[in-house]
Amino acid sequence: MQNWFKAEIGNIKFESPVILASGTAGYGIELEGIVDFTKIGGIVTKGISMRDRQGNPPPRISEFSINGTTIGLLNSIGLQNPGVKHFTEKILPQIMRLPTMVIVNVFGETEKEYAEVIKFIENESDTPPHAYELNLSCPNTEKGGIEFGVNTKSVAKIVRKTRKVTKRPIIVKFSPFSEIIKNLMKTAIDEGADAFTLVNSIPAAVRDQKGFFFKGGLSGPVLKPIALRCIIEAKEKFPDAKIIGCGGIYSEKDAVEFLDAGAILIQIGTANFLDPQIGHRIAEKLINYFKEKSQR
Amino acid sequence: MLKVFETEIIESSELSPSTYIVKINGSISYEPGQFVMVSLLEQFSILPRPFSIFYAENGNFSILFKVFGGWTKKLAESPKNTKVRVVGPCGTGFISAMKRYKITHSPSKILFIAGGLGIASLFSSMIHFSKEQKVLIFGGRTQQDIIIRDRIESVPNLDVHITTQDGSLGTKGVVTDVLYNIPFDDFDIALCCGPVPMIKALKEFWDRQAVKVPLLCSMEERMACGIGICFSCVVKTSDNYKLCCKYGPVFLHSELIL
Ligand SMILES: Cc1cc2nc3c(=O)[nH]c(=O)nc-3n(C[C@H](O)[C@H](O)[C@H](O)COP(=O)(O)OP(=O)(O)OC[C@H]3O[C@@H](n4cnc5c(N)ncnc54)[C@H](O)[C@@H]3O)c2cc1C
Ligand SMILES: Cc1cc2nc3c(=O)[nH]c(=O)nc-3n(C[C@H](O)[C@H](O)[C@H](O)COP(=O)(O)O)c2cc1C
Ligand code: FES
Repeated sequence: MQNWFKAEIGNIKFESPVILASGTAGYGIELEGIVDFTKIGGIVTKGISMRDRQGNPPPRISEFSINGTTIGLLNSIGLQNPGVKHFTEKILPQIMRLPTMVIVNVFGETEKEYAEVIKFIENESDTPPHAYELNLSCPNTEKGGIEFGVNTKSVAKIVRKTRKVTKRPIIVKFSPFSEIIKNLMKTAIDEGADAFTLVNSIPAAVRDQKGFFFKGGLSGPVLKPIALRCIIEAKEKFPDAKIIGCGGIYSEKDAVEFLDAGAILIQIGTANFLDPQIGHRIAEKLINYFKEKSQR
Repeated sequence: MLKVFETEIIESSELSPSTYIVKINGSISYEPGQFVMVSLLEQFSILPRPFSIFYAENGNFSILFKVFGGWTKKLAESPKNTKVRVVGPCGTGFISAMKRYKITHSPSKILFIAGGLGIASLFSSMIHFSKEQKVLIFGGRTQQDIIIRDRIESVPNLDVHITTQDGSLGTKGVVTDVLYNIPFDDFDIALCCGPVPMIKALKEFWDRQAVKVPLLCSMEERMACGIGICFSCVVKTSDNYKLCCKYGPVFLHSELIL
């Protein structure tokens, strides 16, 4: 599998274009023995915050369907996580044994918290990750996340502060609002962001069988055209920006659309639930695409 | 060991209106109480669905299910040779849970309490403990809910008490009504599976009557992955939320907050 693909973000190199998206691959270690990590470019952990978070009460998921076919998933996990201390001491060392790039997804309730989380890891970990992804786009929390990801001043502060505490690549993850992304990318680039994950799930609601409204982040096939539009427009405005495409990727064909739209890497999210091996399967199928591309 | 495999349905039979047994090709080594995540390869659906492993024999295994909504309707309509993806066996079954809670490994007398479809999860435990003395209390709303009676009758060393809310079969009432007549001191362990209101009633009964026999409950929660990667399937316990698909589906009654 080696040498058919290369992409770089900052000082790290990816050997496969397929990354498993935050919140849809646990901490990676749950997938040992199932996923062939040598075929995967990297994994992004579930979001980590300073203190542990219980997350939201169940039910945490609901499906969105049209004429009996489900085309979207709504989730409201509420960023359940054990907090950065437990994560750094107990979980990260295990993740770092996987033969792939490890990106820690970071979440903050305050603008400061993002840098605090990264600083903690940088100071305390003997097995630091390869990169960080800032979740400026979580639709499921009262404070933080999406609130910051639509605000120029917040984006500037968060990226500036995190840039000061690590030399590792910083990837900023945005919500699928194309106009806002275009305006905020410049700020993030100026403050030192290395790449962008486009996109996170979109805030949405569905009415369930019992008549309740379920609010959550919408992901899956329904998100794909929206994600593509965000990538195309971001690329038009910032041709040199490094973009990781994410949203509704279920096949090699979907992945190729994102790559042709200008993404250098892709992330697979909701599709992992249907087939936990979909990441390495898509990677295997992309080999031909890249071989042909290199001969063009 | 947990694996992902693509295979096909080899037999599908309707037990009663809206209840089916589907036999799937492929061997699976599991312990009672574990489940599989199933998806239909030719009909897109965003999530697979969890089903208890009902029965396994050489080279195939079965799930027993009821049609609830769109997905289970599609499965019920799927003929022989329909392609499926299976992820499993998932979760902590009854035997590993007994280990975790330090409950005797070799119980000599076991109480089973099933509500409706809950029998799907308990049936393989009854087979597993075929030599031990067993009592099953099986409750439903009407006699139609009391499924697979012929199979239950063929389980050795098993006494069966049936309850139905409308009195159409067995004792009129609910499972807890029968519990008052159970000599708990004779039992080493109790296993239950059924709708949440039933499990809640059992937990209350256990607390009220100060029953000492450990009660293991197989729980259900909405699941997206079944393997601990999405954090959607939480069950509230005295020690925070726990993943139903990984730590569960089997929980000790005293840790559940229902
Ligand atoms: C560990 C476990 C074991 C199970 N074993 C069996 C079994 O052996 N036999 C059986 O008939 N059923 C079993 N179920 C329940 C079965 O998974 C649901 O009935 C099925 O998912 C309903 O799908 P649907 O689209 O037909 O119904 P829907 O219309 O989607 O929903 C009907 C009901 O099923 C529940 N449900 C919906 N989606 C999910 C989901 N992703 N995961 C879990 N529940 C969901 C909802 O709460 C709802 O009340 C089990 C569930 C779990 C968690
Ligand atoms: C259950 C679930 C949990 C998620 N948790 C996170 C998270 O913790 N941090 C984050 O940045 N994105 C999270 N996401 C968003 C995904 O990483 C991804 O951006 C989004 O789902 C769109 O991609 P998809 O359509 O391929 O799923 C989560 C998504 C799902 C479905
Ligand atoms: S169903 Fe995904 S973590 Fe349990």
